[in-house]
This record gives sequence, C-alpha cells and structure tokens, in this order.
Amino acid sequence: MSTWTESDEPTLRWLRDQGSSFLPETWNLQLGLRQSVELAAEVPGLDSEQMDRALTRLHEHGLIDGRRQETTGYASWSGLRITARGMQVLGEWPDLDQLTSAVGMKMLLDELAKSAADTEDQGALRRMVGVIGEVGEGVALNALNTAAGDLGGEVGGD
Amino acid sequence: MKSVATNTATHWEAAALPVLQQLVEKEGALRERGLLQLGLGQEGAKWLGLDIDDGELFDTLHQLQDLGYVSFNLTLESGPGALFLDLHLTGRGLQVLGEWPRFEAWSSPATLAAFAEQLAQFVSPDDRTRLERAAQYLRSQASGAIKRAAIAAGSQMARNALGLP
Repeated sequence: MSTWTESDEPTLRWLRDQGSSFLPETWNLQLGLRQSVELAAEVPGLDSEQMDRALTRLHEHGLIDGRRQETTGYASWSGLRITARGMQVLGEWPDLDQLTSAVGMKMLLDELAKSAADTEDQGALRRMVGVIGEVGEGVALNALNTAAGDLGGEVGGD
Repeated sequence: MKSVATNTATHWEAAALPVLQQLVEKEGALRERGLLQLGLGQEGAKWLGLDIDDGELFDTLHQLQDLGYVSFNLTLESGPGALFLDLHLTGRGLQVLGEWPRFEAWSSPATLAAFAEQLAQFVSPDDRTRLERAAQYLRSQASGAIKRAAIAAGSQMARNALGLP
C-alpha cells in the first residue's frame, strides 16, 4: 500500500466519475482543514485534509487541473478536471507516441502475458518481448511494418 | 455534481476520438458559425453530432487542448455557459486522427501474430517454436482485448514516467 494507492489514485478516480465542474452547473469542492477536518464524503477512508493533500499532489503531477484557495479553516477547489495525462494514467486515453514504439510493443506483450491463462503462452509472449530487445528497435519496427504491410497497412515506425 | 455514465469503451473511444472526428466533419460549418456555444439551451454537443452532454464536451475539449490536439479561445459566461472561439484541430490533432487507424491495425491480432512470425526469422530453432506459439496465441485473441491491453500498457508507461506504481 502507498500514498498513491490509498489516497491519490482513489481521489483521481473519484474526480473522473464526476461530471464537469462547470457545466451544466458550476460546483466547487470545500475541504475542511485543521480544526474543521472531517471525514471526506467523496473518497472513503480519507479525511478532508488528506483529500486536499491528494488533490494538491495530483495537481503538482499535472494529472488534474483546478484552482485552490485557502482560508483559515478550509481549502476551496474550483475548476477541477482531470487532464489528458490523468486520463492516460487511468487507462482511459492512449499515449499514441509511446504505444507505437518498441517500448510500447514490449509493454503490450507483457500486459498480454499477464492475462494469459497458460504458463507456456505466458512464456512465449515474454520470450517475444526478449527478442524485441535483442534485435533492437529498428529491426523490430521493420518487422512490425512488414507484418502490417502484408496485411494491408503500414503502421508505426516513424 | 453528477455521475458520468460509464461503459466498457475507454473515454478516448467514447468521447475524445468522436470529438476529434466531428471537429473535422463540421470544420466548414464551425468556421461559418465562428464559435461553439455550450451551456443551458445551447446543445453544442448535439450540434456537433456527438452523443455526449455539453459538460463532457467542455472537459474533453480541455483535455484535447492539454495534448495540443485542438486550439481555441475560451470565454466563460455566467449561466453558466462557454464560448469556444476559433475552435479547430491542430496539425498534431490531424496527425493523431491519422495515427489512430494505424494504432488499431498495429494492435490487431493478425498483425501481432504476423509480427511474431517475422521475429521468428531472427532467432534459434528453440526460440522459433516459442514465437510460433506466441503467434498462435495472439491470433486467438479478440481485437478488443488487445486494444484494451495496449491502452493499459500505455497507462503503465505513463505511471512509470511519473514514478507511480
């Protein structure tokens, strides 16, 4: 368990599940600090101060956008939204630059290996990852282009 | 606040990609109109031919702007409402629209299986057998499952870049 899994990722997922903070109605988020700390209704297991810190970290990482104002007892967030980077981190948006690279291919095959039920299939896919590393990015992308070209369309490689 | 409807498609496929596609489709009409209006009674998303509400379009346009795929000047109004002026796809946005079909082809079971067979030319006979097994496995997968795995892999790369688990 970590700050990310216990606090920041649940907060990011909570924000994803909200509608726009501007339309059809504008909403702000007010979180109690210090003497006004209370359990955060939005994310189970967090209090309002922990949630404010989670939002601050997410903002610093560029995963959310919004404006924070602080008074004696409260932090007020307005204009909250998840950024494109945040959507990529949550697996909601692809990172096309990364995915059409040799590293992306290796990550994809690794991901598929994780979900393969048969250990021999897992091993075969992991060996394929190893071979991509051994032949190098140029050869791997050429092989991918040849494979795709044979099937009617060039992909990746630039 | 309201809950956003969720389904099995990623937000990219359900909202972002259709927004990019409709901005191309409606490019002329948008230029003629001069702006896109979102908010009560405006139904800007519907005008663009999208099956999402104006709030989701508002956020999605900002996310597309985060990556430099679209450009606009924004005026916010009480009401609330939003005027997107000079809204258009950038060169990068057009490139992404071109890349997406390439990505779909790249992540198809047939392409990945053929890729494994191509790689088999470079390895020892023992490894060749394993790559042929990999090809067989990849060919048996549904394209949707591979696409989801590809997006999950992208998510992991984004997390790695930020030092997140």
